[in-house]
Amino acid sequence: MTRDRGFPDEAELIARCLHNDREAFGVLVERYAEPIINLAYRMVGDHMDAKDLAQETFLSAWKGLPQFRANARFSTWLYRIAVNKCTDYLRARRRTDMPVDAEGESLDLAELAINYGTPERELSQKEMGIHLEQALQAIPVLYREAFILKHVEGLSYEEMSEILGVRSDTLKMRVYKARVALRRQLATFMDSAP
Amino acid sequence: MEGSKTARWVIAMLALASLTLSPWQAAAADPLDQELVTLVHLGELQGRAAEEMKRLTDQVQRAQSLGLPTESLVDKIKEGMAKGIETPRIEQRLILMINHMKLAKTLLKATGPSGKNQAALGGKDRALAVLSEALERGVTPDEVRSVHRDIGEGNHEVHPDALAYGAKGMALMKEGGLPPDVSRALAATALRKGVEPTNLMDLARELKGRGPEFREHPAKLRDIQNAVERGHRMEKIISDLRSRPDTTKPQ
Amino acid sequence: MSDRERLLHRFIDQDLSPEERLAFLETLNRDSALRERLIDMERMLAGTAELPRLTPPAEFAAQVVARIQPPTRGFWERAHEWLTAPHALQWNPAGALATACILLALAWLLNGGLPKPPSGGSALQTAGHSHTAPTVYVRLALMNPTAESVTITGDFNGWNPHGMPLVKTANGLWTLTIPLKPGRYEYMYRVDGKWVTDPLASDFIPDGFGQENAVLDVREGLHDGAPQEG
Repeated sequence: MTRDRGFPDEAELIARCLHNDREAFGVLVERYAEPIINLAYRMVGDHMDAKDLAQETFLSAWKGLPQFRANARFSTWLYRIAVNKCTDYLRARRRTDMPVDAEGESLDLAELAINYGTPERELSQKEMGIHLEQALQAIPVLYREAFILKHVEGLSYEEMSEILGVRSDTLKMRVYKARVALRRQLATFMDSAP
Repeated sequence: MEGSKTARWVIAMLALASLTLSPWQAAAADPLDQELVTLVHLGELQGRAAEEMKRLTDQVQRAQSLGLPTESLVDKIKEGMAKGIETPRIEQRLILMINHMKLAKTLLKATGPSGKNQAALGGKDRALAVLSEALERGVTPDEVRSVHRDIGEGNHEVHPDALAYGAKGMALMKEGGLPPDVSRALAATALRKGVEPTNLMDLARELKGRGPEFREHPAKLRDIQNAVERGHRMEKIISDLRSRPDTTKPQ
Repeated sequence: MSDRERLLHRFIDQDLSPEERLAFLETLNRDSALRERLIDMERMLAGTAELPRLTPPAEFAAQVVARIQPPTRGFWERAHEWLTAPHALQWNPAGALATACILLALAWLLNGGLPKPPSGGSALQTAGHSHTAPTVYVRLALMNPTAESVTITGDFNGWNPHGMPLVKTANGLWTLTIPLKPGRYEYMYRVDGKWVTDPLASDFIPDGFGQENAVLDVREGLHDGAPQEG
């Protein structure tokens, strides 16, 4: 996701979209396709579904554009749509037996009992990335989305708060818990590896 | 235009059309039924026995009642008729195709995500058609299940399209003489990495066409595997392949 | 979550005041377990840089734009489109029956075969919705200087045995350009009446009758009118 504070001509593109200029919308889609597809992929763990959800996100954006406030950031608004689509989809799918909405109090227990892996089992960065991808799918959705926005998309807590409509303090706790949960997942991989 | 044969065809069509287009019939008519009636009559014009033609259309209707797509079956009947194939042989072919479709449907159901998910993402027929083709091309049910495991790495859900195209990719590569495990690993890795199915098909066809080259030089195949694993763009991998001369063919 | 644990996370986020940060660094200095924990956590977070990233397919934006509903059109525009769309076997129940069948027969004559019904099983249709797929012009070619006639027949013309004729050019190359909707098509040539598999096809499949059909995969996303080599 770009760290820029919005492209200078984005307002112009949006204005053209509001006049039914589909080509202008195509440009917007091109700009945000990569981050949105990847956000969806991190959320749902399947690239085909991610592509479909990304398409749905853009289509919703097109339909909802008249309601978009021009002084807000388009990227934030788009992200919100994407996250909502992914969460709804995961809720409907109910793939993991971890509840989507849980704040996961049970994770606070046994924190200290985590085995951090012996030096012989230190993962290379590459291996870490692969395991992290899997581990992300295994933690509750609320933690997953917070972690992705913070550590993969590199957003600030303020930006995340805007996107998710949740207080920064709450989001911070979710990110902290996500880190702990992921670390526990990785410990499982590392311990069970030969 | 080729004269009397074509003219007879046209007249038959028009006659059939006017017969079958009376308002009370047309209102109730299923397009597939219409087409099957036309085929039976065309068969008769070709000198085929009506009862034999009826057996063909019965197969199509059987497939329809099983919830299988019928388009490829109807195309196959037309193809057989055009090529002058005896009707019983066409029927045999239809039965084989239906068996593959049934198997594909079972496999998709067994390995697929929950019903809601499938409906939401649509295109069930597409996955079924592609997986049927993979089975026709010689991929076994066990190999399909292995592809599924490989793509999903045991704990991810696999989209039906991914499974179908993975199996077809594997089938194409096997046709080129590449070892089954290598074919499977390549197809699964590509899909896991987010390669578009159409790009995977292009790669699989390229590899199929160069089968002898890769059998002679397995290191070249490993290069491709590495490139896919590292997430290199498929278009680049394919264009690099195409720009290299095939060393097993005369230059 | 313990206070120490929380401090660790805030430290990672660089969310500590200067005094808090100093205090935390002093604690780190004394507490090797905490140090290990921090390094461990940082190592994990560094792994996010190695998460594979998907690349959107080249046609992604085009596909999205294609799915946007066009603005509502007037009655005559819609009627015109309906009348001229190739919905081969959907009969008009009232009034225009004869017109429909004659139009179809003419279309069939011009294209040389039974029109292909709207496809539901095509391998490359986009998922789950209906929209008018763009036509792709596909160019086919066969080199045969000695042949007297070359036709092509396949799924796209209902396997009409008479086929669509290719045109011969001076150096013995026979060509034809046909408009096709995206999808998968099997076909063969007939060279002086004999069934011949297209040697230039990118894919082949046994026809089940002892020969091989050529397979053509027509893709969406190409601009209308731009020829695609078959």
